[in-house]
Amino acid sequence: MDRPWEYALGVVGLALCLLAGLGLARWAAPTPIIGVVRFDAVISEETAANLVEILERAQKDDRVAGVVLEIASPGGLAYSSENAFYSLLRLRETKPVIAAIDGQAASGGYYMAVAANRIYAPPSASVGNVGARGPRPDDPELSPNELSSGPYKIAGGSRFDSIQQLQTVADAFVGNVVNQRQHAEVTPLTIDAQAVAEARIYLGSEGLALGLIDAEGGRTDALLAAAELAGVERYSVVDLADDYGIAITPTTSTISESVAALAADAPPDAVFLLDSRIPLPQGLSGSSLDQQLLRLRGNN
Amino acid sequence: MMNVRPRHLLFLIAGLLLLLGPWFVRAVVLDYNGRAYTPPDIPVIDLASTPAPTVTPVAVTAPAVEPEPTFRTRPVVVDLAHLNRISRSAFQPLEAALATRHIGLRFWQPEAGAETSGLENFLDFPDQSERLATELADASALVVVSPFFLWSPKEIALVEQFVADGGRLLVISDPDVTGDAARDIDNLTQPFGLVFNDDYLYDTEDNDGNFIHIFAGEFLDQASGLEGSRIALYGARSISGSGEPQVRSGENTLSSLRTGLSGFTVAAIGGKEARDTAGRVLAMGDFDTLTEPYVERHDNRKLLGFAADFLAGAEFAPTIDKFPAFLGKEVSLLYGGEQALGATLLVQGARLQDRLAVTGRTLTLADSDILTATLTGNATAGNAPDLIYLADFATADAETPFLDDLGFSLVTVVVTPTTPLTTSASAALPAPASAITAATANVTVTINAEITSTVASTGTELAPLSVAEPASSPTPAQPPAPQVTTYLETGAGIRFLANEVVLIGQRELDAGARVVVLLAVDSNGVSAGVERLLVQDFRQCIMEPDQAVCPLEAGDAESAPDAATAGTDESSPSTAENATPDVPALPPPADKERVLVIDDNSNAQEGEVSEADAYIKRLVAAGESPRLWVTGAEDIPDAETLAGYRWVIWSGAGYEESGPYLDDLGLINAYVNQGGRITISSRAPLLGMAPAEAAPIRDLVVDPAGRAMNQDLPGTPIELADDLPPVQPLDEHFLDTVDASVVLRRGPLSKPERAPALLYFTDADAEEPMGAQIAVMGLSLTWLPEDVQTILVRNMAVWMLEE
Repeated sequence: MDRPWEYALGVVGLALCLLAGLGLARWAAPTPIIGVVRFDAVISEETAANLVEILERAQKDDRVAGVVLEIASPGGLAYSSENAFYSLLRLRETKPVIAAIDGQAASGGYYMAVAANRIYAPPSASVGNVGARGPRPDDPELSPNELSSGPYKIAGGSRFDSIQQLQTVADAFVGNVVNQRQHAEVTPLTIDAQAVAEARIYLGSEGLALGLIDAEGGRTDALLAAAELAGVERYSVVDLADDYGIAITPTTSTISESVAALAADAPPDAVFLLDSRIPLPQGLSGSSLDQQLLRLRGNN
Repeated sequence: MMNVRPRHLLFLIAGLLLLLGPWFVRAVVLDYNGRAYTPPDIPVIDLASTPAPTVTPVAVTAPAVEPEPTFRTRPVVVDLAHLNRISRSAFQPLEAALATRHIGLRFWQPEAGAETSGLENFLDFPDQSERLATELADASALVVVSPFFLWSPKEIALVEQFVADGGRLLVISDPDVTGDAARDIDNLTQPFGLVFNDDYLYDTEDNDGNFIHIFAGEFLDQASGLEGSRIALYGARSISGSGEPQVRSGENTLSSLRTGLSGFTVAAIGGKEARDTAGRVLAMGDFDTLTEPYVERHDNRKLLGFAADFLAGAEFAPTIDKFPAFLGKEVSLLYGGEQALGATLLVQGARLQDRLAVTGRTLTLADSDILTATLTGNATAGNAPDLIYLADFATADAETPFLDDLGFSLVTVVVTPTTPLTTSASAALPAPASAITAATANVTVTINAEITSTVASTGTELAPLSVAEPASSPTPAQPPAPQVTTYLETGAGIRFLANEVVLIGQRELDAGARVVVLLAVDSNGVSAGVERLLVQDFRQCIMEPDQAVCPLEAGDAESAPDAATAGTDESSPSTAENATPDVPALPPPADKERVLVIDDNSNAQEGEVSEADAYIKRLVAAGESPRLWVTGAEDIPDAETLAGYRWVIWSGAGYEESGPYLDDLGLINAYVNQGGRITISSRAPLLGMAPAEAAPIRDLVVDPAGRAMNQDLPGTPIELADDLPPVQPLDEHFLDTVDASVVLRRGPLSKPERAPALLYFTDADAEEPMGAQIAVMGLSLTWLPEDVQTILVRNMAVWMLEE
């Protein structure tokens, strides 16, 4: 080191090593995060697809140590609800998923919740409503302008097919709820499948007593539980939708508008896992004349 | 060199530390990559255990149907007029089931535009009773499924009457029909003792694919034949009330509202004995099970058959007021007699033809051969056409048995006045007759008459009836012409003036054909009768289920205004000129109507017979046109109504609970105080005040003191039936101020003997007499022999209606 420039060069080299080391460390051992996903929507094809995409990215994201799914949903389309359920199950295989019910997780909304490791809900939240709904089936009939190759090519099946299919969807829903909740680590289910299939809507406190949720609590409890299950003590909380730039909530504002849009886009014989307190939109609950007459009666 | 290398090595080491140190700290010291998560081991359920799709249907041989429609069977009417949100195609299985029972089905549709009429209030839905009456006129049953709008009280009253007449009613409240509300349908079913509950039934253990698709568990009463059947209901209500349960749900079936119960009634038969509707109303809590495709599930078609059998069980008496519903498709029109037809009858025949054509029937002109063949039994049973027979009395009497079938015989009385005329009442004449003559002219001459011939007579002859006429000359210049009067006489001896009556009746003949008989004194009378039949106007007629005796209005018959030509129709066998009327010449009406008969049936019990009808018959026989007032339907008349009549008959003696009651006393007093004349006929006519306990009357004797009413009554005790109910004896001294005259007393077989049974009094002794007259009868007129009834009412009418 007789030459001063050699010292200067050495310091610069060390500084560069430090910078590179810091960068390498953040890349190779990132700070764990508890990802929060807020699902405040009717479960439609669009909202479910966005949720699934977030979940898939979270599964691949090493930063994500656990996920808190914050649910405020009355449910929606049956197959979209099932999609979300199975994606959550898949995520749960690698990272803890905690459901925090904000207000309501009814029907399809609750279907999503039961895929979580734990479910937290405030005492007055609405949970349950485990069942399916759908339009009354029409009978097969011929289309005057169309030829078809089989008796059910146009209608898709008999009236009893529709009835049975609705029941099959409901049975799967009930079966999954019972299966998941009976194995819940904190508060297992205390009622049988027949009682679950009655599709009642319970308060959060009632749901706790019956084992439909694990504990009373909210988002904070869910974050702590996620960190606990993930085994991280130092972590940051990140809104995954913002982080990934994927918005779940559609542009429509009210539930009734969302349900109307949902029914408009859904197949004609679609099955819904929707909160029974929300009337099905016009197309599913009679003609416009029916609606007009019912409004007339409603005024008296 | 040696000094340089270590320094370089130190720099290298420091650089490595700085490069890896942060990673070491984060990854090893802080364990940022550490994850303690262990996923739960929860098996995924096996959805492959869900059921396979429903099996593809296989062809099943349908039962052979051999429709043999009989035109007389009335169709079943289905209500859609209350905007029932049900497709007409949903009724196709029921329609088919009824067709196999030879019964048609038609829909009562809403009026055009009713659905978009801009109705703003649910309760403003209009009453449709007029249209309903038309629909039910020829219907056998009514089906009402989940009406959206309320049935109006008038509509319900019509339905109740329809059921009482023999019609059937099927009411279904299905909870999964749009707008179905049990609370609204109950206003239709409650009069029949049936109540739908605003619930739905479900069974989570044993169901047909859905929890609301329940299975019936028990079959009772008329549905007991379904026992062992597997019948499902697809969204059903429970039914309460006094109806007889027919089908009940299974023991595991629950109600959405009626918690803690099981075995819910889902089909019941109701109705009320008192209203004659018992057993004629079927209520069901589900409609889907009667529709495709549900009806083909399990044994559901049996339930459809049960409902169709119920509807097919309607039984209507072929009453004349249901013309032409009881006629077949082919009908022959027959004019009696050989005379050429005039325009009047021709026109009415054409109108009958039009009327029948509207209902799908054909009316063809036929000759007497058909009648002969039908009457002689030469027509093949089942092929004989139905007939409408129009004729005058004489022709009908000569060529057919119809007049006799209707219970009448033709009696012609020829009266020849004898001389000399007297200026006072003949001792041979009954007292009432002489009294009647008093007001007819300034100079009164009564013709002493005797019967010189009776052409035909089958009934009891009344005493010769006096004829009063103003005499312009007390001394006859020529021998008087015989006076000919033709009567229709019933088997009981009641006579009707033939020229003032039209008979309308219907009968089933031996050959199976049905005949409508319309008889009057002449063609104009027949025409007037056809008019009544066409417009179903039976006002002021004496009605029986299958016949009507109607008065001819003045001018209806050619000869009606002029009694001199009574019975002088060209086809009449007895013709005489200058015949004069010989009915009792009751005083002409002034500003009042003459007779009001109040049938006080408000407290009548099931099976009790009205006494008022007997008064009506006897009064009509005496030439009166009384007005009938039924308190059960019209309530008690007000004072103004009573004041409009010269004579009021308050009839309640047909019923155990007889009025008048204390509440009626003020009304009667007000009427009497204005000079009213009233007959009170009751088993307790004096508000329960009686000198002795009620006892049955076995016999009666006529008291000579009751002169005003005892003319022509038998001098020997009148025996009554021995099973009559007890009635309160009267007391001729029940009021200090009353001086009553007794007409009838209890006879020696009765207790208490000699107690008055009929008495009368007036206000003649009052300070300001108003002309009031009161008769009190402590028994029912119907208990008396028919000839006594006739005489007594006639006497009473003469006394009550005299000026």
